[in-house]
Amino acid sequence: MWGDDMFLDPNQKMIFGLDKILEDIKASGKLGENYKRNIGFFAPFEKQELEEEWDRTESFVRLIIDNPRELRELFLLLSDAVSVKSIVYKALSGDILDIVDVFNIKKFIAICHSVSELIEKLGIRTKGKLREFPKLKAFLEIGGKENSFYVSDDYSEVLKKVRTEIKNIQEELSSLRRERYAYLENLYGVKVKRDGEIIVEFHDREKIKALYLEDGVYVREEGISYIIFKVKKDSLEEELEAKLELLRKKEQEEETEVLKKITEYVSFYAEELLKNENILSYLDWLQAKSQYLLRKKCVRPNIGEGKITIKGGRHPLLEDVLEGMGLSFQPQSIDINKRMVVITGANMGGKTVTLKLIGLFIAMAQAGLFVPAESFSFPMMEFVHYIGDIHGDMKEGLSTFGKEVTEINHVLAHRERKGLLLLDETAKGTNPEEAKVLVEALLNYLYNRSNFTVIIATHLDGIGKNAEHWRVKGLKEEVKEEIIKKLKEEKEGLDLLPRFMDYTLERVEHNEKPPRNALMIAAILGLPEELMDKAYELMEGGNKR
Amino acid sequence: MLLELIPQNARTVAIVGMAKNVGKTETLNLLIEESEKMKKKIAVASIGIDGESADLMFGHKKPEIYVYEGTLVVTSTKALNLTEAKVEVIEDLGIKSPMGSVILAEVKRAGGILLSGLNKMDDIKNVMQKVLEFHVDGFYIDGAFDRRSSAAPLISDAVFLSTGAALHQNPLMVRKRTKELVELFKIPPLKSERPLLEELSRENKMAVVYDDGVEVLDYQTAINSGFEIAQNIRKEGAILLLNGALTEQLYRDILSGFRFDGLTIVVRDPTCIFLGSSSIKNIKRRVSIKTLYGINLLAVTVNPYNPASHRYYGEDFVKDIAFDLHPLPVIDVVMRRCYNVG
Repeated sequence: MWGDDMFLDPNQKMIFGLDKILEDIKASGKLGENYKRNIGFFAPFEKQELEEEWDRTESFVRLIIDNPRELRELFLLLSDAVSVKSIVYKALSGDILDIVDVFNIKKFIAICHSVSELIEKLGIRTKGKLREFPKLKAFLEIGGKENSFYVSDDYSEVLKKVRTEIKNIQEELSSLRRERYAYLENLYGVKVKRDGEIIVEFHDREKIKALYLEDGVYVREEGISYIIFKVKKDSLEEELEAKLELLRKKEQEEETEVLKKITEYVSFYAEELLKNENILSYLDWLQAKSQYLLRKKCVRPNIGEGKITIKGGRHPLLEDVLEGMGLSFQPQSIDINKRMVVITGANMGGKTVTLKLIGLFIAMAQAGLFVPAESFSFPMMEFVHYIGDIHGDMKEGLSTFGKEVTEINHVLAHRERKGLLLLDETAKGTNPEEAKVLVEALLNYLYNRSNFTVIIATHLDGIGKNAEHWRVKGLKEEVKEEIIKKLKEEKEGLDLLPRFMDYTLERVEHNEKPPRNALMIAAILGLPEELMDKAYELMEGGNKR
Repeated sequence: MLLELIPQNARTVAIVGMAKNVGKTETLNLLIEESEKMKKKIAVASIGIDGESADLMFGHKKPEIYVYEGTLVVTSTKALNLTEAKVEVIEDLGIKSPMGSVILAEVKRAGGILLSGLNKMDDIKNVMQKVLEFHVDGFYIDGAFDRRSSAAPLISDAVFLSTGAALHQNPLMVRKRTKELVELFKIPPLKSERPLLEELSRENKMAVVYDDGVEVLDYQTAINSGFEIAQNIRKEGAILLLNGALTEQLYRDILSGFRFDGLTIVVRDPTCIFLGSSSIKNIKRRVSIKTLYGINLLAVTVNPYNPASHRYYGEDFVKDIAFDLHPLPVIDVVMRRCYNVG
C-alpha cells in the first residue's frame, strides 16, 4: 500500500470528500484512530491483497449482523487499548521501565489475550495472529492481581525481608513517638502536633515554665504571645531513622532489579509486542469501517478491466447534507466503456457531483472500503485527479484559466501512468471558440499519448470525436410551466430546483445538441422577471433567424 | 471531628484554601485519619500543585499528605518517585501532565505521598467519575482557591473552607475576609427559570429574562457596560444573567443604571462574586444577587498558625471566627477543637 499516492496532491483527498468520510468512520480506541490516519491505498499490482482486504471486511460485516452482542465486548477491549510503542522503545533503548510503564504493558498483554480469545471464538478474519506472552504474563502477575501492577514482596526474598524490616521499624518508631507525645501531653496538658511541635500561649505560664525545664523538648520559636516547643529526637529514634533510610535505599535497589528484569522481557518481546499492536490497530480499523459500510449500505466493488460501471451510486457526504434538508440524493448510474468520456447537461444538473463520485468510489475502493451503491465495477488506477473550479489562492497571480493550464501540464507529466483524470468545465474561463479547439486537441492528445481514462464535464458542443457521450437529463420542458407556477407561490427557488431536476445520466450520440436549461434555471433562482422576459425574447429571435 | 459533618449522600468533598499555608493539608490529613479510624474506603486527589513539587524534588521537604493502606490516590508517574508510601498502579487515567502520566493507585504501605497531576477542569470531572466507579465511601479533593480550580467546589458534593493566619498579617483582616467569603457561599441558588438560564450559562451568554420573554444580550462581557445594560432593562422583576465576574464597580453601575424596583442578578456561582461585605449587606434591597449553582459549605477549618512566618494568632482568634460564623461549624486544625457543633 502506498499512502497518499492515490492522489497526485494531498488536497485532492479533500476535493473528493474522502477526508470527511474517514472522519465519519470512528474507531473504538486510539489505536484504530491512529491506524486510520495512516491508511494507504492498494496499487493496481496489489489486486490480490485488495480482494483479501475486502474478504475480511465482508466477513466482519456479516459478523456484525450475526453477533452484535458478542462484538460489543471486542469494541470495549479495543477502546481500552493504548499504544505501547513508546514503552517498547524505552525498553529497547536501555532505560528501565517504571511501574506505570509495566502496568500498561500488563494491561496490553491482557487485552491481547482477551481479543485473541474472541477472534478464536467468533472466527474473526484479521491480518496476522495475535501473539501471547505466557511467561511475561506470569512474571507480571507474581504476587499481584491481574489488572494492576505492584512490585510485590514475592519477587525476591531480599525484598520481602527488607520490607518486613521497614514495617517493623516504622511501627517501632511510631509507637515510640506516640508514647513520648502521650507522655508529654499528659504531663504538661499540651497538644503535640504530628511534626512534634507544641504551641503554648503566654498566659499558660505554668506550662511554659515546665516545658523550659523539660529535657525532651527545645524552644523552636518565641513569638509575641506564644512559644513553640519541639520534641527532641532521642538517640534510639535517630538510630532507627538512619536504619530506615538504609533499608529504603536497599528496597529501591531491589525493586529496580525486578523492573530491570521486566524491561529485559519487554525488549526481548519487542517485535512481537509491536506486531500485536499493529494487529489490534488494524482490527479496530476493520470494525470501524465495517460498521460504517453497513450503516451507509455499501456494496463490495468488483475489479473489472477497463469498464467503470456504477449502479445506484450515492455520494455519502451529499446524501447526509440533503437528508438534513429533508431531501434525498438521487442515485447515479453510469456505464463507461471507452477511455474518453464527455458528460454534458444543465447547470446545477450534478455534473460535478458525478465526476467526484466516480473519483471518490475508486479511491474508497482502493483504500479497502466498500462504496454506497447497488453495484460498482472499476479498473484499478494508479491515481485519480480532478481539475476544476476549486476556489484557489490568488497568490500565484494566475487566472482560473492560467491555473487550469498549469495543472493540466502537471498531470501530463504522469501520462505514462494509469490514472483517472476528471476534467470539470475545462477552459470555461476563456472564449468558447478557442476553448472548443483547445479541449478537442487536449482530448486527442490524451487519447493518443497517455494511459489515462478521461472524463470531462462540459458545456461545449460537439467535442470528443473518439469519446463516449453522456448527458444529465436535467429539467424537462414539460415541468417548465409547473415550475413557473410554483415559483409564483413559493419564493425559495433553490429549494425548488432539486425537486424538478432529473439527475439521471443517459447515453447520447456524439452530435446530439445539449439541452438548454440555463434560462429556466436563472428564472428559478430569481432573476428579475423583466430581465428574463427579455432573455427569452432574444432566444426565440435567435432561433428564428 | 470532620467526618461527622459530611452528610451521608455526599461522596465527593473538596477542601478549598483561601491562601497557601492555611491548613488545607492538615484538614485533608485529618479527614484521612478519621476515615482510617472509621474503616472507610476513600480516595484522595489534589488539584494544581504550587511549587510544592519543586521543593520535594530538591529534597527541601517531605511529602505532607499521609495515606494509609487501601486508600486510593490520584497522582503521577514522577510524583511516585518522591513518595514514602508504596502503591499499586490500578489505572492509567490517560492524562499527560508535566509530572508524567496521571494514574490511579492503591496504597500498599502507608506513608507520605505527593498527589499531583490534575489541572484541567475536564480532567477533574473525568477522574471524579472514574474514581467513583471503584466504590469508595469518600473522595477528598484538595483544591486551591483560585480561578483555575474554583470549579472544584462546584462539582463536589460538599466543601470545607480552610482559612488561617497565613491569609493576612492582621488577624482582624483574616476574620473579615473569611466572613465575607462565607457570606458569599451562603447566597442561595436561584429557584425559577433554571433550565433556560443553565443553557444560556453553558453557552457563556448574558441575557435578561422577563416574565414575557428572553433577551439575549449582545455583549462579550458586562465589564464597562453595566450601566448601559441596566438602563435597557425595561421592566421590574427581571432577571439579569451575567457571564463572568460581578465586581464592585459593575454592581454599582447596574444599581445606578436600573430604573425600576426589583432586579435579580444571577451569576454562575459564588466564586464569580467579588463584592465587599458592605455591598453584600445591601444586596437584598433593590437589586438582589443569586447564583445558578450553589456551594454546600460544611464547615470552616482554621489554622491559627502561619508556618511561613511562624506567627500564631492563638485560640481566641479561632473562637472569634467561630463567633462570626455562628452557627457554621469551625474547626481549629492545630488544637483539633470544634466550635459551633452540638
